[in-house]
Amino acid sequence: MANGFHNKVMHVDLNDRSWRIEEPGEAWFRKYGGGRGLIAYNLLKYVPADADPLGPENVLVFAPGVATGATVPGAGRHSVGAKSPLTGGFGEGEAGGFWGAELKRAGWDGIVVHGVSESPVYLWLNDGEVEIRDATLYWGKLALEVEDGIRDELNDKRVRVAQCGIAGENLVRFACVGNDLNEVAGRTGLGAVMGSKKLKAIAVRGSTPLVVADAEPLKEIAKWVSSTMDENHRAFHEFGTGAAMQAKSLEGGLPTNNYVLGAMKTVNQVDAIAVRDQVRIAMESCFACSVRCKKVVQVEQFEKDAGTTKKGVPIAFDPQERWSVDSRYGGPEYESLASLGPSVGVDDLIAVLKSNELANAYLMDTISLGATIAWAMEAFAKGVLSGSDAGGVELHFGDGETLVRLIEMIATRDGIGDVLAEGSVRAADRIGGGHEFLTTVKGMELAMHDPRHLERMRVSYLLAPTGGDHMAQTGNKNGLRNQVGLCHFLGYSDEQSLELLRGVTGWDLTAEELVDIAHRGLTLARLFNLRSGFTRADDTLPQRFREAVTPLEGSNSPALPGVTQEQIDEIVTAYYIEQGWDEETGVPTEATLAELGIELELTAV
Amino acid sequence: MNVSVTLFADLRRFGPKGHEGSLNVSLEDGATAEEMLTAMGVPEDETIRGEITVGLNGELGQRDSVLNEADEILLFSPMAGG
Repeated sequence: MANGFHNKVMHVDLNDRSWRIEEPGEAWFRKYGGGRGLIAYNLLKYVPADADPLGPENVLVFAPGVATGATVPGAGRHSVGAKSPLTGGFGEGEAGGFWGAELKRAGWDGIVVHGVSESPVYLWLNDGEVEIRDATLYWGKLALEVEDGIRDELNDKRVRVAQCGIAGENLVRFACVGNDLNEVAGRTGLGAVMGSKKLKAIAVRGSTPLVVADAEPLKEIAKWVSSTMDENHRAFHEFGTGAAMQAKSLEGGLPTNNYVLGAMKTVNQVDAIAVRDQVRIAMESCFACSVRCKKVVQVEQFEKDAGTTKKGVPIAFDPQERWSVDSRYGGPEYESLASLGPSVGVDDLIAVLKSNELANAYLMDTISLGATIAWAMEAFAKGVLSGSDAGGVELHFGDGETLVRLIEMIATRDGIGDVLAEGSVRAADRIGGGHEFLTTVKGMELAMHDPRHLERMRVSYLLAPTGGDHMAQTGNKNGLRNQVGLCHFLGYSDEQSLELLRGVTGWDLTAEELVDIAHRGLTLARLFNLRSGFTRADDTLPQRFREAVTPLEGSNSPALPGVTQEQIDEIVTAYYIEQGWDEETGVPTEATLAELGIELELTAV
Repeated sequence: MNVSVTLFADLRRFGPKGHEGSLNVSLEDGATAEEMLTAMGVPEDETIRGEITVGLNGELGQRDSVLNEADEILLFSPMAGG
């Protein structure tokens, strides 16, 4: 009996609605862990170099890790991956919540979806059973209606649902795959891949706890998290993410007005402290986690409907009576607060919350969404995006109402929304200008940490296989967390991580082995990108970040200098060497491939 | 002299348990922000102090900034976003 995994990856073929079980074997799981490893392995195996990301030859992979589903804080993560319709390369997003753990409890280590269905379907995984069911009724519905509808249909309120939204159905290039209504595998446009396959959702019910080798160390670690919450996880526990926005602004590193500025005087109106003080009604957790860092917010459109929650927490209302915000979609993380706030110059908290809610209802990546709109606002200010291009919509920085309106337009590809739904690079191509103030790497918009401000972000943006990605997967520690399904927010030491994984799997893992596992995932992703046509030239930063931050009038926030070519070259070369890739080209060397034991058939470029 | 200090995020562990809003801190005249950290019981540990951002009266301050009566200080530590 295996510990931490089942040796069962499902391959579904939507062309003929068939499915089969792959048994990769214990050695495979010990080598790759899951997550990025599982994704890259299957992309290299099944996706031809010239495959259209929105066509039948792409595969969509759902990849928890060996730790996912273990009863220990942080073990609730999974990745989703495919060839990205936004970047044309390795696409991946990580998500939390409960769906990944439920999938493991249902007896599965992963799902690989091949082909395209003729009509909308959803997968129903009910412990060991598999069914492909008609999803016509859910096509065109908002995320909440889909989850509630499927639970009603299956007569089980405990079913967990992952889904593509209306944005994915409409092939918005930064559409995302959501689960549990407030969790998303956000980046690189995986929702569009899911929509292109007419796979509306995957519903899972898993009633069997994950078998682990030794639960004792897991219990100890769980106790450690709870009893040291104040010292180690206080910030996340009390505020969730986004409590450092004022600091970023003081230091000149707050993404503001499409990264032109680095500070916003009214940032304290839209940070996690403002959320807590004005609109938050609760905090929620992911599977098995006591840190409980997920915000729940609620806003009523009219004061008369506000009042208090059952627990006596006051419910906010919109003083301008424009919008309500449904608590079931969760509250904004840092990235969303920043991308839908200062990055578009907006300091109206309710507009930011409404935008976040709509992004979750239609299922779009808040980062690419906000950053694409920010780009469009600069293009509009400079006359590059004309009034007629915009179809009469005025795209001004700071206009929260237009922001909210644009989100629905993008999700439904209405008017200017159809252009912006392509992402900022293709939008620039479409309107024939504005390339010089794009904020993209490998075609994906940077997240909301300025590389001019945070040095450690440079290597992430330059070298992440997914492009402008802040998750610092380049470091072996974070790379590993991804592949075993552990949350990055748990401050586990290297020793604790090792104990945790040994406890789950029973393997006598060493620290070096864990580094190798992370290396393998990153190297496989690199191979996929090379095969997709990426070169060292793509490991770079756009012009916007070669320029200094513009100082904010009346503020002493430093005008941080641009990143230089020299700095970029140094970081890229050092990273190639660390990973065992050719230091000029970044191609994994034969020696490295042999050392990592990567199968030859995966390496054909 | 007295200054008002607001602790953010995980730095709140250096204030009285469950405290809300700003704290009143008494200091010698001419004290620096660094000396204020000591008075508040923040450990003399560079891995903690080196990460602290000081907001002073709405602007970016420094650890060696000299403080004045009724100054408003915000103390932050960095956090990765999600």
